[in-house]
Formats: sequence, structure tokens, C-alpha cells
Amino acid sequence: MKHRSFVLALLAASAAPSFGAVSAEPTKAQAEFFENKIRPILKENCYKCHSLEQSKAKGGLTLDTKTGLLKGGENGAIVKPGEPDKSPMISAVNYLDPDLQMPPKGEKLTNGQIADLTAWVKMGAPDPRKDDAAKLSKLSGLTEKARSHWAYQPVTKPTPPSVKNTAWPRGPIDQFILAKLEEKGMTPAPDATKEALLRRATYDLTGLPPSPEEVKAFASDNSPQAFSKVVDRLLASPAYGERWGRHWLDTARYSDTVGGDRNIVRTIDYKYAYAWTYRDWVIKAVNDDMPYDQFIVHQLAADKVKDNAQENLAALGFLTVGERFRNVNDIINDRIDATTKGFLGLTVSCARCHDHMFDPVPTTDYYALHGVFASTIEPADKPVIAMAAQDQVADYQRQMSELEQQNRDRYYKFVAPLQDDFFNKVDGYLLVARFSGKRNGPAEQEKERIATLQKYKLERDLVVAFARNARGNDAVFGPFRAFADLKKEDFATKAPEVLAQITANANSKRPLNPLVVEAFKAAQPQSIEDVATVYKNLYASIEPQRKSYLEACQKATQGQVSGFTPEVAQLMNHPYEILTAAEANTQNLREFQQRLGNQLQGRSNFYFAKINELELTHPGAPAKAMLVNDSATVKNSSVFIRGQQETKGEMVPRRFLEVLSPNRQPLPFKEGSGRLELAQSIASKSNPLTARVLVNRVWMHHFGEGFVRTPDDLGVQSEPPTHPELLDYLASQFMEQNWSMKKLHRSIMLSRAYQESSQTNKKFEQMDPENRLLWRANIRRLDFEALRDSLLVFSGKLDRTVGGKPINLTDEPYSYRRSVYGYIDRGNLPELMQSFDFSDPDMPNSKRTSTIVPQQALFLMNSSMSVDVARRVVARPEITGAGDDLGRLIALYRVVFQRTPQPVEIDLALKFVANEARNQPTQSPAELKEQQAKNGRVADKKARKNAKGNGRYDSMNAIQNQGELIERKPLTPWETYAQALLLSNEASYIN
Amino acid sequence: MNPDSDFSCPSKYIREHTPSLKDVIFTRREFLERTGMGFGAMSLASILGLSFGGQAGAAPANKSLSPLLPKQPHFPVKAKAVIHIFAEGGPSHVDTWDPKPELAKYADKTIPGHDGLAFPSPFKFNKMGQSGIEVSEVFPKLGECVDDMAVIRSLWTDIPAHEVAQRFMNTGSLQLPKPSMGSWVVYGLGTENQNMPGFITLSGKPEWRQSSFLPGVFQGCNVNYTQGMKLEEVLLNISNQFTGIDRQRRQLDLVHQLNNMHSQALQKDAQLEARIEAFEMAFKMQTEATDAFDISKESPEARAAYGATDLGAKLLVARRLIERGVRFVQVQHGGWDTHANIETAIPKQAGAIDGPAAALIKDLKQRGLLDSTLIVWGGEFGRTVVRDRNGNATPGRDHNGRAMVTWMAGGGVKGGTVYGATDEFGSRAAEKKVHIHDLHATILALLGFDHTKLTYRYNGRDFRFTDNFGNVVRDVIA
Repeated sequence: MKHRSFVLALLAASAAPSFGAVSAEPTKAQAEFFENKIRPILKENCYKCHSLEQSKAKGGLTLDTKTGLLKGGENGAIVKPGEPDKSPMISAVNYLDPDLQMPPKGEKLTNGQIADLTAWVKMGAPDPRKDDAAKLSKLSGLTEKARSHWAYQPVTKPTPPSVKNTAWPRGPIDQFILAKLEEKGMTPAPDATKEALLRRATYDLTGLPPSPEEVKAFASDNSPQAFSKVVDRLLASPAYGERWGRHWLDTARYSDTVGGDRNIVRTIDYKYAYAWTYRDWVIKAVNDDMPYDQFIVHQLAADKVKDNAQENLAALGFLTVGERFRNVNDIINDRIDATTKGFLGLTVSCARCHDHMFDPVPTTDYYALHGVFASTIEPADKPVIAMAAQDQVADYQRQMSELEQQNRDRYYKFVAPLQDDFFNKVDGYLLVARFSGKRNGPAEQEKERIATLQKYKLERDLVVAFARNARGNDAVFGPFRAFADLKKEDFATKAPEVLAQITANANSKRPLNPLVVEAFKAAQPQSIEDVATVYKNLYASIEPQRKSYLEACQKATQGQVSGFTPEVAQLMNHPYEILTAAEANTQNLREFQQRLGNQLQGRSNFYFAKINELELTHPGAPAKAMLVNDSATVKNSSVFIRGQQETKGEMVPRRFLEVLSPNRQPLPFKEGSGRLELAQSIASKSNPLTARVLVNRVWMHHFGEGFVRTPDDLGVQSEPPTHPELLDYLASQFMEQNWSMKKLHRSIMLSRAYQESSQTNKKFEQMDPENRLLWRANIRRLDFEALRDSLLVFSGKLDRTVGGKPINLTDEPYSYRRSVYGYIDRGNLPELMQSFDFSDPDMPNSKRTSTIVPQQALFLMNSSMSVDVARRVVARPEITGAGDDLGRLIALYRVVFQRTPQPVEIDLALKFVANEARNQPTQSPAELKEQQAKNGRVADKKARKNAKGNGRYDSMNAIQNQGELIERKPLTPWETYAQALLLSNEASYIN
Repeated sequence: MNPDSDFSCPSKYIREHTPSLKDVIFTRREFLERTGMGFGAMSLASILGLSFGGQAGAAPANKSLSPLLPKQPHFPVKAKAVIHIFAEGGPSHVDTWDPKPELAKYADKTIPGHDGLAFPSPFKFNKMGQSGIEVSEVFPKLGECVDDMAVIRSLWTDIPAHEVAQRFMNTGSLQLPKPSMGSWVVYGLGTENQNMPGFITLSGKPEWRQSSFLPGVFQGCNVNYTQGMKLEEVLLNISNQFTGIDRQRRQLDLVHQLNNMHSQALQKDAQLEARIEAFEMAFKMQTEATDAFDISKESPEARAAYGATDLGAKLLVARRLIERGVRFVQVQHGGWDTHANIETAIPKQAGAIDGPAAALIKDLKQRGLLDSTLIVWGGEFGRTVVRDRNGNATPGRDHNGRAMVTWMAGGGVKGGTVYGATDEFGSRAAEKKVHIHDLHATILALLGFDHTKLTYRYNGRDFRFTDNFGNVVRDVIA
């Protein structure tokens, strides 16, 4: 059996399977010495911070087991048996190292105790303790107990239990629910009213309120299939995919940007131009009821599915729309995290640094998946999956080629002065290149270097860039390096020898530039400065050709530059290789920019962000897939010990997770990176987690809570499911029904449990205050999207177009599109979305929090969107067309609350409107201010414009909508009243 | 470094504070008391079947309404609020708070054991205050406040690159997104005034105020404040441009009537009640929040003390915010990345914050608020004691993560303290080293938290601000 080291804290685990030299069995005397002298010292002074028993392992060290003591801590072994002088433990107790004094804080051991410890180490650190294997594994999830966790057992299909009240259940779901209630002596709430049920179902499936017509139709349909018809109608609506697609996008940590790291943005585009194609793919797949197993496979491996439709490549956005980091291992971690939490409800990323603390996921599992994603690449060329609106393509192409041309022009304009500087001062660049390297040299050298930098006024970034050219094997500058390697005092004697080698140019593998060789033939350098002058003169001699070379490159829109000998061309391609116009495409220019230092990058001023923005926003831009492919050479990864990439442990084959594999014996993946096999292992009926996780999430979105309330973690740390049998029943039925989400919705929604009212019961509130047993329906607040989309529905302006490029969700002028089409900037999520609990797009989050804070109220009270909606509601034809106030009010109630008003509500409304009519202001606060400060409005516009960008283009700015600002005039009494309805709890809650 | 990798932290062993959303929230009774409101006389306990056991410590009530209501930390302390002056760019420690006379001996020479050209500070250091702490002449006014300050001279960080080190200072994480310091503090303590946001930043990068996996309400609310800013634009939707305040009051009264009827029908569900009150808070926030930013209400003397600059005005606003019960204010003061021209750049940078920060300390003290307000000044790393390699004729210093300095004042800090030391040249922290995680642990301790127990359960693991590290620097706590 493989020996697995136990885990000590997050950072502590060592993957080393053995603990090195284990000392021989202690003699009786040695054992007694340990028991009488050593163990008491350890116990009284060390266990406080270093005890497995007490769950304390500072520095990754435990001393209450033999294994722990021998293994040592994060910095390695603490005891070298037989050699006290080389044992950090002895150094620490003697306070020899100011950074490592133990016990700390001056609680130094007595001299006698130190002597005992020293003697004990000297005798070979004999340790008679017998470690308890179970104890050793206490702090990792690699236990049989963890492996026997319910969620890792195969899904079964339990028989629905029998119930006393046989009249209530409509099917198996209800039997499971009722049985639990009856167990506790509880009863389900009465059925919800038809109005409440329709509102609940419509919001649940579409994220939108029902229309007055739909309410009327359902109310008048007395057939037993009335509700079933509603469910079918809603499931067939494109709005269903928009709603449930958005749920999945929370899980998939969907965002349109790479995240907040400006250092990354210097070298890659901040905005994902095509993340939205993934979002649209999700919406379409959900609307098409794509079987969930296929839904998984496409998102992980659409590129490897045989004869796959081109449009399915967009599914791979699941992997690629995550946050970007400078370290590729962090990007891989994001993908492992999204894949395992997203599809498996398992927090595998915890095993990046150590075996999982609670779940049976060893680091080897993590690195098995690491190999899969490390063998996956993102091709720079993204495939077009759909063409854009035909009438827009020409304009897009025109703008794009203009930008590309401007970039090329900028490139040559940028490079020319750099070349000037370099050619004119090549002696200086060479002399300073002697000292390159990142570290400071000794003072004398540093002085010389600084003096050279100042004398020649060298460009800092060119110095750094040139350091790469001035290597020994360089055809042009290699000779300089050969001279530079000579010691000053040896120069006179050894230089002729170096010179001879250069002029002989005998190394056929690395021939020197003939012009350089010629130049040296005429030279007799007496110092390194003389050598530099040789280059200076050489470059001076070809100066006339320099401008024409650059011009030739700029003109070379096809093929190579002509009219220059190769040796001249070779001299010209410094300090940077000069791109021809044909080569100077966006990709190559981006790479050029990446090679520049910070200062030059800052000055380079290419239009990459504008190109990015054009691709993202122009209606004529084609849709492309953010795909991945297997890399040409696939490879396994080694375990990174403690997550540190510098310390590699054992190599792990690319394979699936142990605990989820048949017989817990994962087989190595064979095909390419193994992504397809990974996807198939997840999308498998024998995988115990996949179906359960999905069913739990669907249940959560219908009832407010899942069976398990942590939808992305069904592991050992999660609470047990409230209805484990029902969860399994639904999971197995889900798989039997070919992983159909729509069938799952139908089963759930046609249950009587779903149709309970939210009516409370004082007694049951005491027994089950959180309503875990579903003795009633939960009251739920609309989330951000549902609230915003409802406002648009009320206003009559909702644009129901499905799919497309993202829109700005929060700023005026506001968009009429559904919120799912909002531009999500993970690096700067708008405050409004934050205050409405929008899902954090940095990591998978299938469950939203639901807080209640004043900022939410301020949006409804004061935002121009809320005001505009109030105006537009009142302007709806059924309201303007109503004959009288009562008619207006009834129509208004039907739109906003989908019901008719009660007499008391009518009374309130009419009084309010009448009173406001008497108090109608002539000016709004904005108009008043404007009048006060004559040019206030202009200033206001200016201020707004400034706030948006200060005139400077910033690649991280949000995209903006086109449209008009809302007029700042006062509301009418009816508009004020309508806005009050929007503010009300009833408009924001589903009951 | 003392990696306190105590494995109790990410585990189930600590149950003191493992809230999910519902228990970061408060009971309605407390809620009404704090906000001075009382709608109806319902007994929420009877509705929800709860006990209002006022447990000590951070143990939250098990059902709750607003996550921002004030909460008690683990142990009682003086500090109630934080003003973090973030000196972005990496302030040079040897030119400001860490005198190194030894360095002068090596001017333009090689320091033993170091490469490069030694670059002694061009500034004089003077013994200041009763405590006689040596302070660079570039901080004449702050120098007068040293008896209220603890200067940590042995701070160090992991990676001396701006982006990473700034993230580390503000979120305790080098790379992966984690909640910001202010988010943790407001998560742990709630905020005193429900009519104000609890965590406000006056400029700075979004990730310095992000709530990450903590609920969005703990995210910092940013105001790119300038003196010329219109008050009605300081916070999102803070004022209504269409409807006057009188009509809005009547409109909200109507909403309350509608809500009360709706609530009756649904047996006064707690969240419905909470939302009713959120509207009242929002209504008050409109005047209270704009008022907090209105420094025209300050006396000319106060304005003069803080100075005429935007930075001075920001610190004055910070005081007004703290006064109104805002829990955490971060003020960004950029420009400390002095690769060149130390001799002119440092006096300019220091001069910008010297007067305002000194005014802030004195002002808070005079108002009796210094004890309850923790001021933290510092950047993301320190600087080298050798010249920057850029060869600038007027030299500067490069980044240095091994040595940096920070000071804290008020809020239970032991004034007149110097803690730790760099080596004789100032090139690296040497005595009583304080890692960034240690500083974070100390800030949390000053606010009454055991940093190992202020945790948030996310995806099966308890997360801390200090990750798995951090030792409290007790010696800077009074």
C-alpha cells in the first residue's frame, strides 16, 4: 500500500513517502531516557504549538508522534540523529539563531533540559513511541471514514415511502417530503393561490413576471392540466434559457474581463472580446434542453468531440473565461476549481498545497488534473462560429484595418528613434552591456556602469533589451562579449588571440557576420572601449542604409525585404528584430510590445485596446469561440510540494480523481491531454456526484434552499442533505431521463410540495424555523437580474432579443436588454451589482447571498432608471387608455403586481394621487439647481463626461450604451405613485 | 517569519465564528434599538422562534436582518474605527522613519555584504516628542505626534512588485482574490451608523476594497473625492434629481403602508420587515452621507489645519466619516515610487501628507476620538539602501520587500513606541521582524479580534484575513 504522509496544516504536507533513516529500535535504557527526560520536555514546552493531538502544527511541525518528530516541519528535518550540531532543534533551544528560538518569547529551556536533548540527539534520537495510524491521518481527508461519506457512494433509487395522508401526495416527491413532515408531526401548508403559483413559476423558470394576459388565462383555465400547461409554456420560452443559463454562469464564474491585475493588462487584452459567445452557447444549450452529460462534455472538451458542430466550440469558454494571472499555475488552478466545484461539488483546489483536509482528495489527484490542463493551450487564432450582420461587416472591417494600419505606422514611428539612439550610441550600449544582469554589482563597477549610462544618456529599456543580444553566441555582438570577458589587466596580452579567432571566423556552425569580421580585420583594439568603437564605426558606415531599410520593411506588405544583403540586414535587426509590414499584424506587434520594458511599453501607445473594444462591441465583428486545444506535446505534472512550483514531488499520470473512479483505481488518460476522458468521467452515470450536484442546485433555485445548502461543496464538510432519499431518487430519475433538465423541472414543479403556499404556522416555526422540511413555501427576494428585468417588463421596454454582445447594466443611458446580457467586469464589479448580491465572478458561486441594505433602496428611490420606468408604466396604453382613475389603478396593479387592488389599496392610491396633484412641484431638484447655477446643466454634463473617462482612453473602462439621458423634470402624481409600487416589497418578493 | 500554520484554522475545530450569511446579520430587536426605529410592536421572537441570547464574543445571533449592524469583537478594546492611509508606491523607510547613520559611512561605496552603491539618506533625523523617536526632517509636523505613534521598523513583505505587494497589503493575498482588510473588519464588526456605508475608500484600486467571497455588502464603497466634487454625486444614487425631499417622504410613507399590508398578509416575515427599514435608512442616508462629505461646514481653522489640498480634504472627510460611525476608511496617497530624485521627491511626497495627517491625529485627539480610531500609515514595501540602477543623475531607490516601515496611531496603540529594527544599513528587517500577516493580525487585535477566529466559511473551508499565518505584535498595543 502506498504510504501517505499525514497532513499538517495547509502548508505543511510533504509528499515524501518515507521519512528517511528510521533509527533502530531503542534499547530499554534509551526508551527509559526518552520517557523520563525527553517526553516531559516536549510535552510541557512544545506540544502547545506542535501537537497532532491538539491540532496545533506551527511551522508544519508536530512533536507528539515519532513520525512527526522525525519528519520535521516546513523547513525540513529538525533532528539529525547522532549530530546535535547539525540538528536545528538543538540550535533552536540554544537560541543560536535569532530567527529561530524555541520555545519562543524567552521561555528558554533550562541548561539541564538542553543538555538532555543534546545527549538524546547524540545517542541517535531513540524514540520508543508507537504511532497510531488513525491518529496520523487525523488531519487529512484520506481516511476510510471520509471515503464512506454519503456523496461518494453510488446513487441509488429509493422507493418512495408510504405516508399516512395519502390524499396529499401527487407523486414520489411529495411522498418523500410528506413522510419527513409526518415523522415530526407536521403537515404541509395549503396549496398556494393560483396568482401566487403563477408568479412563482414564471419567475422561477424565466426570471420575469407573468403578464396580465397570462394571469387571466391561467385563472380561467380550470382544467386539471392548467398548471402543467403553464410549466410547458414557460419551459418553451427563450426566457427560460436566459434565466437558467444565468444560474449556470454563476457556477461558471462568467465574466467579460480578465480581472484586476494591471500588469497583465499591459500584455493581454483586458476585455474578453468573445466571452459572450460562451454565455450565448449556455443559453442556447439550456433552451434546447441539451442533455446535461453532453452539456458537461462540450464545456470541457468540445474540441475533441468527433464531428462536433463548430458552434459548440464556444462551450469551451467554460475553461477560458476565468480570471487571468501571471503565473500559469494560477490559471490552471482556476480551471481545476471551476471544473470540480462546478460539476462535482468538490473542492479539489484545496489539494493544491496539501492533501485535502476533509475530503479524500490527495495532492496527487490535484496534479493529475493539473497535467490535463497544463497539456491544454489556447490558440491565438480563434475560430469564427457565426458571421455578423451583413450590413455591418464592411464598416467593421474598415475600422479594423484602419486600426491595424495605424498600429503599423505607430510601430515604425516608434522603432525609428530607438534605432537612431541605438546605432548612434552602440558603443555605449555595448559598454554598459558588460554589466547587465539584474543584480547590483560592487561599487566600482556600479559607478562605471552609472557613469556610462549618464555619459551616453542611454535608454534604460534598450539596455535591458540589448543585454539579450550581446551574448557570446551572437553573430554580430558575440565578438564584443569575447573581449569583454577578458580581465582588464590581461587585455593587452590576450586581445590579439581573441582578435585572431574572430578574423578567422572558423566556426562554421556559428559564423560571424562578415561585416563585423571585416571591421575587426582593420582593428587593433587596445581596450574594451576600442572594441566598442569598432562597432560604432561599423554602424556609422551603414547609417545611410538604415532609413531606407526601415522604409523597405514598412513597404514590404508581402514577402521579404529586398535590396539588402543578408549581412547588412543582420546588422539592422538590432536592438529589436524589425518586422515587415506583412509581419506587423496585431499578434506580432503585441508580442513585440510584450518584450519591451515598462517605460517603453508605456510609450509604445499601440491601439490594442481599441481593437479589443472594436471586436467586443462592433455589430459587424464576427462571433468567435474562446476555445482550447490540446498542446502538441502533452505531459504529466509533478506534485508541487506545499504548492510551490520550485519543489517538485512525484510525477502523477493524468487521470481522474481516485475517490470517484471505479474501484477507486483511476486509470491514466490515454488520449491527448485527457480532457475528453476527464469530461466523460464526470458526465458518467456511475459518477456519484454529478447528478446529485445538479439536482441539488435545481432544487435550490426552485425552493430557495437545496437539500444541501452548499451547492458547490457536497464533501465531508457539508451538512447532511435534508432529504437524502429524495435527492437520490431525483438524481437517478434525472439520469434515466437522459439528463433532461426540463423533465427535472417538470417533476419538481408538478409536485404538490412546490405548490404549497408560504403561509406560516406558529407551531412549525418553532419546530423548524428554517423550513428545512418544507412545511411551507419560502418567501424569496428577487435577485438583481429578476428585479431589473421586471422593471423593464413593467415599463414595456424590455428588449427580448436573445443573445449578442454585452451591454452596460448599470450606467445611464440604460439598456433595455435582459440583465443576463450585461457586461461583467470581474476586476471592477459595479457597486450596484455588489449591493444587490451579484455573484462574485472570481470563482464558482452557485448560490447568491440575499442581503438587505439601504443602497438597494437608493437604486429604486433615486436612480434615473427607476424614474424612467415609473414614467413609462404610467404611459402604457392600458393605463393611458383607462377611462378614469380607478381604471388606471387597476391596470397599474395588473402590470406591477399581477393582481387587482383591494378596496383599501384603492382608497390609499386615490388619496395619494389627489394629494400629490395639489402639491405638484413646478421644478425638479435638478432643474432647480440648474436655474440656480445658470450653466449648471452644462457643467453637469461635463462633469459626467469627465467622470466617465477624463478624456483619456482606458482599456479597463466599462463599455457604454448608446442612448438618451433621462429628462430631469418632476414626476406627475401618477408617476410618483407608480414608483412607490416599484419600491414596495410586493414587487421585490416571490411568495 | 513565523508561519503560524496552526491547523485549527481551516478546520471544523473552530466553531466560534463560522457564519453563513444568515448569522452575520442581527436580531430585529437590536436592529430597532440601533436605528432608533420601531415599526409596529411585533415580537419577532414569537414569529421566528428565536432566543435573543446576547452572547459575548463574536458569536452571532442565529437569525438576522442586516449584516451591517454593529457586532462585538472577541474581546473588548478601545478601537472602533480605522483610517488607513495607504502610501502607494513603496515609501522609502530610510528617508522617513528609519534613520541609518551607519549608511553615511559608505556613501558611494559598497556596503559589506551588499552590492551596489550605498546611498545614505540626504535628510536629517531629529529626536522628536517626549519619546525622542528619531524622525526625518521631511515630517516636521507628524514628528510632533510621535508620542501617539508606534513606528514598526522591522516590517517586511514577500514580493517587491507593486501590484502584488499592494494586493498583499490590502487583502493578505499575493495572487488569488481575497476579501480586503476593510471588508473583513466590517464583516467582523458591522458598522455603527446604518445610515452610512460601513467601509468607504477615497480612491484606490477596486481590489483593495473588494469583498471577494464575503457578501457584497462588505465591499468598500469608493468615492473619488475631490474638493470640487458635487455633494449629490458622492455616492451612487444618493440624491434624487427628480423628486424633492418632501414628496419623497410622502412617497415612502405610502410605500410603508403598502408594505405593512403586504407584510401582514405574509405574517410579517423578517426579511420583509428588514427591507422596510432599509428604505428608512436609505432616506436618512441621503442627507447624512452628503453631509459627511460637506467640508464647507468645518471652521476655517480646521480647514486651514488640514490644508488646502485634496489630500488634506480627504483626511478631513475621513474624520467626518469616522465621527458619523463609519467603520473603515481608506485614503489613497500615491506617488511614493521614488526610483529617482529622492532628494526632491521625498520632501514633496512627505510634505503632502505631513500636515494633513498631523492635523488628523491632533483633531481626533482633541475630539476625544483618537483612542477609538486606529490610524495606519504605510505602503506596500520599502526601498533599497543602494542607488537605483537606472543611472539617474539625481538618484533614487529601487523596490525592497525585505525592509519597510509603517506607523500606527490611536486606537489602543502604545504611543511613543519604536518596534523592531532593520540591520545597521536598513537593507532588511533584522530584529523582531514583522511580516505583513503579523501587521494584519495586530490590526485585527487592536480591533478586538483573535485573527485566527475571525473566519468565514466558504466552499467547505474557513478563511481568515491572515490566511494561516500571523503573530500579533503585542508590544505596540497599549
